[in-house]
Amino acid sequence: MRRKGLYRSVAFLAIAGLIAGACGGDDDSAPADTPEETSEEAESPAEEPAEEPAVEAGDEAEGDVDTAIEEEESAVAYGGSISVGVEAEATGLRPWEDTCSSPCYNMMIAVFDKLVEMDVNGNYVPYLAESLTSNEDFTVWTMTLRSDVTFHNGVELSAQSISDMFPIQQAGAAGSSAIAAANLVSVEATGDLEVTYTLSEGGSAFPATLSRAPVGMVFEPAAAADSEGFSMAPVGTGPFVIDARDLDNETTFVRNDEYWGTDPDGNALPYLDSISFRPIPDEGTRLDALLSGTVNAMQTLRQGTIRDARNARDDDGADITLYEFQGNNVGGGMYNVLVPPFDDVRVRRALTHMNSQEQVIEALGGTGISLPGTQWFSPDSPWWSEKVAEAWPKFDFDGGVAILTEYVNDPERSDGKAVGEPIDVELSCPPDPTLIASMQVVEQLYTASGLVNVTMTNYDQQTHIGIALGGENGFVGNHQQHCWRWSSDDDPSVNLNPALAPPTAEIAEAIGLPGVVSPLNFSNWFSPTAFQAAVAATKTDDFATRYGLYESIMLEFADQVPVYYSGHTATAIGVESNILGLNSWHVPSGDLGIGFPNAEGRWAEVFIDS
Amino acid sequence: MGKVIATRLARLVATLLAVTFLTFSMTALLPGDPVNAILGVDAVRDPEVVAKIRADLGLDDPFLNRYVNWLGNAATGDLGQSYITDQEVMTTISQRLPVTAQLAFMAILMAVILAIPIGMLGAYKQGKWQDATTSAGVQVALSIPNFIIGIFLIWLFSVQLGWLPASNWNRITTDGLVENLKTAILPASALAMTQMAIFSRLVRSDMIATLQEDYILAARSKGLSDRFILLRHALRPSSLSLMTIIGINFGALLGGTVIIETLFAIPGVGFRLINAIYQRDIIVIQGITVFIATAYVVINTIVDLLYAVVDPRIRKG
Repeated sequence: MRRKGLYRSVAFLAIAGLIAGACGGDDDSAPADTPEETSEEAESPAEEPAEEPAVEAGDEAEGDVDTAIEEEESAVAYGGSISVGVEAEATGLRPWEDTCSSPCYNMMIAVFDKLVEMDVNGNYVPYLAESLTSNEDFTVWTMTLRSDVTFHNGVELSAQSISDMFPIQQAGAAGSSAIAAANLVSVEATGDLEVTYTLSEGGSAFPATLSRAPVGMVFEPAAAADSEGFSMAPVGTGPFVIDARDLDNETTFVRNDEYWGTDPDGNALPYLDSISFRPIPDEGTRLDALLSGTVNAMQTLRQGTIRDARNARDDDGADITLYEFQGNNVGGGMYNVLVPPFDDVRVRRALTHMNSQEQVIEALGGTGISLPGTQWFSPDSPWWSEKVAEAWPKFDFDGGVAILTEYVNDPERSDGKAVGEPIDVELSCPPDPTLIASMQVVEQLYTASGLVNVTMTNYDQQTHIGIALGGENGFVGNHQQHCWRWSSDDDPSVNLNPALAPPTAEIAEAIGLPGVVSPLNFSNWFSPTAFQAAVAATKTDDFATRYGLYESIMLEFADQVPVYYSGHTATAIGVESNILGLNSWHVPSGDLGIGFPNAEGRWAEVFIDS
Repeated sequence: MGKVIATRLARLVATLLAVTFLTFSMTALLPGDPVNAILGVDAVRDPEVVAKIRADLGLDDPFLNRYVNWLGNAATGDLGQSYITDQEVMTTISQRLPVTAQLAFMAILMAVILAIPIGMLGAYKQGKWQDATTSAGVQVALSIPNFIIGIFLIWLFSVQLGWLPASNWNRITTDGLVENLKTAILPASALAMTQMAIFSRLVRSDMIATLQEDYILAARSKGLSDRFILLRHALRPSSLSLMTIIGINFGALLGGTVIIETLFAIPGVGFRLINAIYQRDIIVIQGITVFIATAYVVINTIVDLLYAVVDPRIRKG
């Protein structure tokens, strides 16, 4: 049986009231891109109203970040230019090569279209593609492209373009990784506009790969022959065309008059004449730049800046609008479970009980902004589970001390210390002031127990990652309790599967999977049941089944505690109040898009209210 | 004179060799694998890809081999190519140096314009309230880090008054001189404050000494006005050490604008250096550091040589 509109079906039964309600979306806004897909979905048993109590949203915290994604009521207007302050310069604008973070993504999305996008309900839906279907075991995916789309250099988009992109992506630093993760082995043009993707191992979440920059952003392959030149003058099919790129200062894009996209009323996109991006690394300066009119919009991924921007708006009367987003991404950290005493679950549980999320979030500047994390999904997410939230070990200092006392007094304690001696914990975070403040909160709590000797260390981001990676010791790493961030708004498999695969060659061999080693399992915690659940979740497109599998993994996390959480990462894009449309962009079917997760805007439908 | 120049140049070469070796050693000792930065954390799952990149970049070669290769290329002006952006380091520097040089020049100019009258006033009114006031002001300027001054200037002139942009850089070539100066004046002012404080203290102390010279007393006895004496007879001999420190500080500012460039998002050499450090772009770190060190050493050497030209005692010594 061929499955059509696969991933849309996956999420179709999902989310209904949840995200739609939370984000102000519309339950009836399910994509109806092509008639046959729509009818196929209607026949799918997976589409029965999912009556899944487990997918109900959690309660929202006071001051929760949650901007409505809703249709813009003001009449759109053409023309004008805006500048956007971003937190860093893009390392490059080559989707297949450059590791892209939020600032770079804001720029890339102006010039490139993605094959697949996420809509307001969290469904992966065709974008530059017109349809995407798979075979039964998800090893072969057939995509039909939109017709009459041209690249900025006038070359017509065809299936051959997508096929020709593949070897470039395979050779690229970012592309090769994404291709390996997706088990993608070939991309063939099987028609003028039909592309066939073949995977060595089936994955129901493959559309997520086509929604991400390394494989999903479409570039003109011939232009990519000059890699460095392409980075300065990228060629895509997107709503804007590169005009000038002044590295570390300003990158300007102008309207693509030949853009294929329209708004739901049939008006040609984009609305703006031009948009420029200015890297402003200092958070305070970036906000000041917005407040002073130096830029017209700015992004931030810091709770403290959101707080300051709110204060400027509410207390000082700044004429700005904040588009805030509470994503799945959650701060916190991990315990290296291959290193004593963290190999003993009692220690992990005890330390987690003794860690006050509320105080840590306050130290991070996120009180009233950042929701406490209990899992890899925020309460706004369709994957969030109330059962997991209840199971997560809450702050209970005395309870934690009791558990740790049991370990400390155990003659067989794993760290080899004498009975009664405190355990040693190296707590490490990057040297961000708010992270250091949060470390101090944890250090004081641990020290107050009299059962923990805490050493605090700070290394820059790259070193911090390298310590956890442990390339020199078989990916065990040299960390103990280590600050980290978890999850994203991608499909759960994108982040979870590599974090659950065998962390070392020894473990992989022991379970009969030699060679299946994931350096990205940073906590080194391995559970056969969790790993199998993660793999099983990529073999089905049934949301309820997948939901149950991910819930079981999160419950195991709550029980075994290889990781811990502070708060979910709130992000925001602040704009002058006459700039509209950021929260009301659409996918081609006319449904609303996901909004602006991770402070990544879609700029084609942004306009200046005259 | 020829011998002096030869000696200075020999010292210059030795200093540059030491600087390059130290820079190369320190960047090699930095923890963290540049391959992680190139690939991103998600990509390290494929050891073959990692090994290939390491081999391509020569990261597995012995340290001395890498240094000698790099030095040989650097001697021909080839400082290598960024791991991250693929851009030539010399191109990176040549694009950003004019911005940093303009900032440094404006900062020095503003500092000198302020420092000379302040220093002269302090010397002329030595021990009086004018001297005490200017000295206190200078002490404050010296004590406040320039990034704090920068934050204050942004708050005042951008957010509150709305007169000047808070960040980024308008280029003379595309935006014109006026627009360029609008973006340059705040960061240059932030840099200038510390320089002004240093310069004015120097002018004050030198001028106090000058004002006690016999020829100044002779000029006074002739009935010349204080203003004329200060400007025509005292200022020039009091400026020799000022000229020296201006040269040295200009060289230092080429590498010392890192924080201000980052605060104001100015696309200069320092801003790029900071980004390279965050990205573990070792080739760029090495290239820019060596360039800054070279500029500093060269400017110092030029100042030394000028000193020798101006003062025969140094030439003979």
